[in-house]
Amino acid sequence: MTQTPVAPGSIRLHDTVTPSLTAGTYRFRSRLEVTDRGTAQTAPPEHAIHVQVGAPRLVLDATEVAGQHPPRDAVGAFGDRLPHVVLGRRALPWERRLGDGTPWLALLVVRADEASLTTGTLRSLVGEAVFTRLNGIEPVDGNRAVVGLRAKDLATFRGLLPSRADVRLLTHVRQVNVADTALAGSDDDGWFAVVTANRLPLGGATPTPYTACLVSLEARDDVWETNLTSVPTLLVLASWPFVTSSAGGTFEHVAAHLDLDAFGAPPAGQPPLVDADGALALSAVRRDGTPATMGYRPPLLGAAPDPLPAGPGDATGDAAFELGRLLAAADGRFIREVVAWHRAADDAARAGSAASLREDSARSYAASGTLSHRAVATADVADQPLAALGETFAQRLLSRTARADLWQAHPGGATVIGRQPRPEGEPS
Amino acid sequence: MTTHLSAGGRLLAERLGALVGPPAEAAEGPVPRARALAAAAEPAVAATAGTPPLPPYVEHVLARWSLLHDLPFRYLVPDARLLPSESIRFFRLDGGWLECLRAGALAVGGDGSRERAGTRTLLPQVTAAVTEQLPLVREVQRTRMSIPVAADLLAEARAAGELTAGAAAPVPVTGFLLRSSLVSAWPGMEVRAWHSDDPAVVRPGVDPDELARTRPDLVVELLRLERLSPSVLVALFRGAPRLVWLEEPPQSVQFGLEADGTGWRAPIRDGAGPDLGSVPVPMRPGPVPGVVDVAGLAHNLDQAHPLPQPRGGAAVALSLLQAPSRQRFGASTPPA
Repeated sequence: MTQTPVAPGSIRLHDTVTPSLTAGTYRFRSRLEVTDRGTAQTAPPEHAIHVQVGAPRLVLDATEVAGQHPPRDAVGAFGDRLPHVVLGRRALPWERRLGDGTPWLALLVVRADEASLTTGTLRSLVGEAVFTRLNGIEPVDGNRAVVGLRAKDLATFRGLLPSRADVRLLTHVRQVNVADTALAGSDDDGWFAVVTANRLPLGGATPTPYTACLVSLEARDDVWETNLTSVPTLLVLASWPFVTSSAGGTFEHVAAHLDLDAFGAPPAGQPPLVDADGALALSAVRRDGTPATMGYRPPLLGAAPDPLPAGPGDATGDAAFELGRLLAAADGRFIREVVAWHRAADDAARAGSAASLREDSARSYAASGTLSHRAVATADVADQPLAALGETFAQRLLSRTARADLWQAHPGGATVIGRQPRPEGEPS
Repeated sequence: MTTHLSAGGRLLAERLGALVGPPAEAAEGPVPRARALAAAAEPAVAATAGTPPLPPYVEHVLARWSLLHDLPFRYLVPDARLLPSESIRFFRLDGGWLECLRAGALAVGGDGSRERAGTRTLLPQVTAAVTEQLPLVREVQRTRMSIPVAADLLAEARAAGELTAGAAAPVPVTGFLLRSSLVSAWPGMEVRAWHSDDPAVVRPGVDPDELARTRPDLVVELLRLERLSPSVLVALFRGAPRLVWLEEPPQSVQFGLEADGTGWRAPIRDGAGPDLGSVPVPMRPGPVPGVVDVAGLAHNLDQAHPLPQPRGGAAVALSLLQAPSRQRFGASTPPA
């Protein structure tokens, strides 16, 4: 499927996303034909391999559900919205299909008095005939505990169940750009399958409890038959309760009625919690056992001024320092690297100070040398003995430095021992 | 960061380019760049001689803690009354507090008076380095890049001089704590922040991505958005936004019908333009109230405005979609 990417902020809707293989067990058969110049030769035996294409069947894992409306256990005015469930796996509704390609998932919304959820083994809940059909499609354990939905009578069941055409119309795939939402999950390809209910959860004079049930219609062509004698039990993959009341509950309503304030403000109608510095009074015990109150200010500032509260009765700075130490102590790599950094900083500081000391003395020495030159030239030696001394030292050092060679030979060595260059090569 | 590539992707592309050879038009690209980098790195080394730079890991972890990662919740909200249920509290981060935290963390390697004195003199430098690291923490948390890659990117940006502007005027970190059923009931809620709360600039119904593309100067960067518990969300921004949005997640936009006396109506849409009127929604008769005859609704829609092919699941859903709701929190009170 080649597709242009979804523009940010828009939604692309698809009728179906049909996987080429529905869930089940498959057998691949491979065979080799060997011919030698037109004549068939003995072929190796046929090779068969069994492959299982897996998909949820009897129960839906909570991680498969990416979202639902109304939220689980919510109370609110949901009467004008069709409930829906968002599935993170886009092909899930078509991974099993009825004979005519109808998806196998439908969302039913039932009032508490219309139907009941029952738990039991698969075989006992759906009946032997349906179990045989299910087992024929893909082997299944009949004794597995599953949840079933059973309407109170046939008329209610017929009233609730969407028709075959409805089931197809109530399922679609959404492609959105989720590049900038919270660090929610790893599945952020932006594809979602959405299964919608066919019923508005209408409210009444009193709050009305409803249950939304995602049911499986796999191998259940019988539920649309007109000559049903008993109420069929449908397999429930996931369900959640909610209550329709007269107001509230929706995103708009909850968001608009948030208690909005700067951090540090008390709940509406209560006395202030923090002082002018933003610090909270916490009870503490002094060293001698007497009770006291200590101020502590969290790192979140609402209306409080910037500087940290200080003073003997405030623990803010110490608490932060100690927390930093604890956090660091809990991280072995952090300790190793910080210790190495401290050592490097120490070494660098020591080397730096030694270097600057050397540099300073050399500079002052050079400065004094030139000065003394000038001093000797202009002033009397008797007046400035130190300058003269410096001059002498400088002269001596200079002469030594000039004569000394790299090998630290004695300056007079060259004259004491006569050095004659050897002729090249051995004398014959 | 004007390209579509993420920062990590950009670096990877650059590295790969250096490995397999640069593209033809930029034949001499990487080499002078490397030279310039080396040339720029030298004076920096000379200037900070005596204080080795913090190891990248340490810098990153300090930045993470400076964004309140790993901090016990009791330290953030010492009293439950500071964050009542169904409330949102806006704040700015306390730089002095976090500096104490960093000083404590760096004291763990050596707690003598000499180390303490050394740490104290180095602290402003550490703070500057950590501030530069802040935007990369989220990328690392989302596993878009690793810590060494982030450090490389930062070194590159420092060498290129892209970060000097921010150092002159420190950018405050602001944010909010939200404790509400919104957090648990609408996972994947979108949070956006803008520098302007003027309804003429940031119109109430504007597409946020469209606005971010045309006016990138208005966007306040998100540094952290995380659920601390099933019903508590923390968001941190780089800078002080004038306007913050909470928006319903796009994948769970709802299906609604419009009440019309005792019945219901659904708008006609073809996905290309505005609504083309509406049709009555047929309800199924019988003992169960509120059940929609979906096939009948599709038939009504097809009758009113035929599409090239009969409506399927997607086209019916299109008519039922409600605009995602959005809550705006502005710094100034809106005009009545």
